[in-house]
Amino acid sequence: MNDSSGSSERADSAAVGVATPTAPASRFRLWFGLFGGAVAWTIHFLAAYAIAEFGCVSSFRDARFLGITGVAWGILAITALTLVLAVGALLIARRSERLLLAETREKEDEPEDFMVRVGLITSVVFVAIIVAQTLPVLYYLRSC
Amino acid sequence: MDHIEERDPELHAALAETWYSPTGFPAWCSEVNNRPLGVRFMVTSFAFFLIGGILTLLMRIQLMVPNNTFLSPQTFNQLFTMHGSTMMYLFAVPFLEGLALYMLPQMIGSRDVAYPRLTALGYWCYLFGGLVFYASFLVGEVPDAGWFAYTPLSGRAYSGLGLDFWALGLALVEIAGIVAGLEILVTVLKFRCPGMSLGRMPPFVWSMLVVGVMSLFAFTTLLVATLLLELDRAAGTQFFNPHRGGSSLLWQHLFWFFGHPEVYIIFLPATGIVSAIVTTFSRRLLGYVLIVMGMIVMGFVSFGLWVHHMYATGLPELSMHFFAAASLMVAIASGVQIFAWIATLWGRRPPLNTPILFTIGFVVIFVLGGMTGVMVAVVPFDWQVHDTYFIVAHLHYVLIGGVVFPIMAGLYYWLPKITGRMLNPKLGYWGFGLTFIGFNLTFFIMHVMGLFGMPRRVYTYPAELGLEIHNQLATVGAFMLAAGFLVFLWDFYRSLHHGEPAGRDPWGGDTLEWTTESPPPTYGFYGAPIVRSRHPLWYAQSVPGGEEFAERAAEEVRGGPIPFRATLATDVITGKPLSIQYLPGPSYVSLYVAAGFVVALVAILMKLYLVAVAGAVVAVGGLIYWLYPKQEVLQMLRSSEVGRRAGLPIFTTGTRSTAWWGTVCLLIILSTCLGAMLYAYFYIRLYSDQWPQGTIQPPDLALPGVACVLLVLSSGSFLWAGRSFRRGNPTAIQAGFSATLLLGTAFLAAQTYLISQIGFSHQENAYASLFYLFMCYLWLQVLVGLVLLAAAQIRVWQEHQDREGFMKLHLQVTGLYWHFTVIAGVIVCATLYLSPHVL
Repeated sequence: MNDSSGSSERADSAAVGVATPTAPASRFRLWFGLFGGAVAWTIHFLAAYAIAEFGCVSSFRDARFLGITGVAWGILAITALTLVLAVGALLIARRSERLLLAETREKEDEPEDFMVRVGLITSVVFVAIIVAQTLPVLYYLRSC
Repeated sequence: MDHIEERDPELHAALAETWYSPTGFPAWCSEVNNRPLGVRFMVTSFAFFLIGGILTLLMRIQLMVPNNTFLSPQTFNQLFTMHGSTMMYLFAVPFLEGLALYMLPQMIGSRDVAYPRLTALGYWCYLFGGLVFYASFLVGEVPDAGWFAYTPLSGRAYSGLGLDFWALGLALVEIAGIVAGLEILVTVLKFRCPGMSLGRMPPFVWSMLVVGVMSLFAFTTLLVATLLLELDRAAGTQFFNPHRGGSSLLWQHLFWFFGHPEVYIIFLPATGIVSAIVTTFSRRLLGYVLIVMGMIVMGFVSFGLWVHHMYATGLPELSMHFFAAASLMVAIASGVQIFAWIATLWGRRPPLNTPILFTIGFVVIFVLGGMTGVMVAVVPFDWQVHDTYFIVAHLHYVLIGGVVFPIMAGLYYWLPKITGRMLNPKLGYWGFGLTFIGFNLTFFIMHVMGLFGMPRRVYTYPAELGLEIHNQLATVGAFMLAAGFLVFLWDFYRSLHHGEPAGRDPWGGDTLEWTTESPPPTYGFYGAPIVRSRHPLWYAQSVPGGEEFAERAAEEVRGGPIPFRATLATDVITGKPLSIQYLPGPSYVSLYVAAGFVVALVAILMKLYLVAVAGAVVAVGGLIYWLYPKQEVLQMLRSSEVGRRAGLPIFTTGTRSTAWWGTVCLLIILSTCLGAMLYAYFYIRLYSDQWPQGTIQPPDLALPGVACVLLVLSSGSFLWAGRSFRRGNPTAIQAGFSATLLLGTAFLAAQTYLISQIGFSHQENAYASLFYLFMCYLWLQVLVGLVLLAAAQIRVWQEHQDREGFMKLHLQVTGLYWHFTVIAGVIVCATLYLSPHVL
C-alpha cells in the first residue's frame, strides 16, 4: 500500500463523507490480514481431517515414500501450504500496521488499526494451532 | 454524558405512533419489534428452564439412594432426554438469542434488528417447536434416546413416536436458531450507529457477531441431520442403517459437528456479558483486542473439535489425536479471555454487588470446567472416564458455570434496563449464595463419583458401589441450586411491583443502552446516536468519516419527519452512514408461515398427508406474500424526502443493502446443507465395499451430462440479461431472461424425467437413499430458482427504467441465488453421476 495515497484517500473520504474508508486493494489487505490465518487453519483442518479419516481406511495408507505413509505425506504437504498462507497473513497484517503507524494517527480504536492488531494476534494463534495439530502426525509416520 | 437523551414529548408521541406496539388478542401476535419479541424469547425459554430443572430434581430424588424405585428405568430415560434437550435446545440458545435481540439494537444504537418479521417467525417457530417437544407427554410417547439421539437407538426399531416429536420439534427450533443467527449477523454488520467502527463495538456485540456466523453453519448441519433421521424413521431410507449400507457413526459426526460448536454458541455470548459487567464495574477493560481475538479463534476452532466426543467409537488413532491437539489449543483462546478479565478487575476494587458476584462465580466454576475439559481432550484419559459421572460433572461445570452464571449476572445487570426497576441486593446475595454452594455441592462430587466408576444415564446403582453419601450430597445440592433460582424469581416478581426505579444508567455503564429510558421505548432512540470512542458514555474521541455528515444523517432518522419505520444502515467496517433503511411494521405473516410449518410437520407425524399439504400451502403462500414487493411501500419510499435531506439513499444495492447480505446468508445456509449431504455421501461411500451398493449399476452419464450443460448455459444467459439491464437494452434483457428461464426449465424437465426413470427404491440401501435425496434437493432448489427468475422477469417487464434502485437489487439477489443453484447443480451432478465411475 502506498502510504501517502492511503492517507489522502482517507482524508478525502472524511471530507466528503463518502463511505469508502480505504481503497479496495487496501480493504483486501485488511481483511486478509484479519482472517487469512483463520482461512489457512480451516483449509488445513478440512484437508488434514479428510486425509486422516479417509486415507487411513483406504489404500492410501499403504502407499509409502521414504518409509512414510501417503497419509502422513499428505498432511505434511497441506501443513506446509497452509503455514505459508497463515504466515503470509501475519506478514501482511504486520506490514499494514507499520504503514498505519507511519501515518502518525492518534486514536488506537480507528477501524484499520484495530483490524491489523486483531489480525496479527489471530494469525500467530492460528499458526500455533496448525503446528500443534500436525505434531501427532510425527508419531504416525509409518501407520495410522 | 451528552449522550443521555432527554425526553421530548412531541417527538416521543410522533415516534410512538410510528413504532406502536400492538396490544390485545389477536393483534399481539402481529408484533415484530425486537424488544417485545426479545422479552418473549427470554420469558418462554426461562419457563422451559424451570421445567427442565424440575425434571432434574426428579432424577436426583431417584438417585438419592441405591436401588431406588421412585422412577422406572423407562421414565428415567425419558427424563434425562427431555432435561438435556430442554436445556440445550429450548433454554440456553433461545434465551441468549432473546437477550441479543433485545440488547443488540440498544447497544449499537439501532432502532430495530435487520429483519423484524424474521424475528417474529423465529419466535413462533421456537414456541411451536417447544410445544411439539412437550406434546409428547400428552400422547404418552416421550423421547428417550438422549438429547443427542444416537442411532441406531433413535431408529424406528428401538424408539417410538416420541422420537418423531423430538425430531420435528427440534427442526422448528433449528429454524429459529438459523434465522436468529442471520438476523444478528446482518444487524451487527449493517445497523451500527455512526462512529461505531469494528474497533468500538462492545464485546457483547462482538460475541454475538461471531455467534451469528456460527449459527448459520451449526444449526443448518443439525437440521440436515434431523431431516435424514426423520426420513429414516418415516420414509424408510437407510442413511443410518448399517445393515443396508448406512452408518450409525455418520449421525454422530453430523450431530457433533453441530453439538460442539453449540457449546461455544452459548458460551461466547456469556463471555460478552461478563466483559460488559467487568468493564462497567472496573471502569476499564484491559485486553479488548485479545478478547476479540479469543472470540474469533473460538468461533473457528470450535468447528474442529467434534471428534473429541467420539473417542470411544473406534476412529483411526491419527484422526483422534489430530482433534485432541485442536481441543487442547482452543483452551488458549478461552484462557486469554479469563486473564484479561482478571487483569481488568485487578486493583480496581469493584463493588461486590450481585452481577459481580455471579461473574466471579462464573470465573471460578468455568476455570474448573475448562481444566477438566483439557483432561478429557486427552484420548487415554477420556477412555477412562467416558460415560461416567466425571463427564456429567465436566459438562455442567462448563454449561452452568460458563453459561447460566453469566446469564444470571446479565439478568441482574440488565433487568433494571428492561423492567425499569432495581432488584433487591439482599435477595441477590441469597440467590447467589444458594446457587453457588448448591451448584458445587451437586456437581463437584460427581467428579469423584465418575472416577469411582458410576455410569451416567443409568437409573440406579448398587449399594456396593459405596456412593450413597456422594449421591445424597448431590441431591441436597440440587435442591439448594433450585432454591437459588426460586429466590431470583421472587426477587424479580417483587421488583416489578416494589423495586426502586432504575433510572437510565443505574450502574454508570459505558455503552449506549444506558442512554435511553428504562425500559426503552419501542423505537429505541430519538435519532441515531453518534459514537466517539469504545466507551461512548465515558470518553469522546472522533467519528470516522466526518462529524458533520454523521450528525446530519443521524438527525434525519428522527421520528418527526418520517412517516415510516426506519433506521440508519452503515458501513461494515467504519460505521459510516450509508443509507436509510426502511423497516416493516406489525404483520401476521410470520405467524401464518410458522403455523403452516408446524401444521405440515405434525400432520406428517400423524400420517394426515392432506392436512400436511394444506399446511405447506399456507407456509409457502405466506412466504410468497412476504417476499413479493408491495407497490404502496415502494411508492411511499420513492416519494419520501428524507433521503434527499440526509444525502443518503433509501434504495441501495450490493454490499450496501441488507437484502444482499441476507441473500448471502441464505446461500451460506444452502451451502452448508449441501456440504452436510456431500459429507454423508462420501462418508458412506468410503466405508462401502462397492459403489453403488448392492445390485444397483453405476448411472448413465449421457442425459445428466446434457442437462448439466443446459444449467451452466443458463448462468451465462443470466449474466447477459444483467449486462443488458445495466446498459438499458429492454429487448436484450427480456431475451436473456427468457433464455435463462427456458434453459432452467429444460434442466428441471430433464431432472424430473431422470427421477421418474430411477430403477430402484429409496429404501433399497444407503446409496439409493442418498441418490433420491440429492435428486430431490436439486429439483427443489431449481424450482425455487425458476420461480424467483419468473418474478424478476415480470418486474423487469414492468419497471426496466429503474436501473439503479430497487429493480437492480432485485436482479442482484436473484442472480446470486441462480448462480449458486448452477454451481450446486454441477456439484450434485458430478457427485451422483461422475463419482461412481471414478471413485
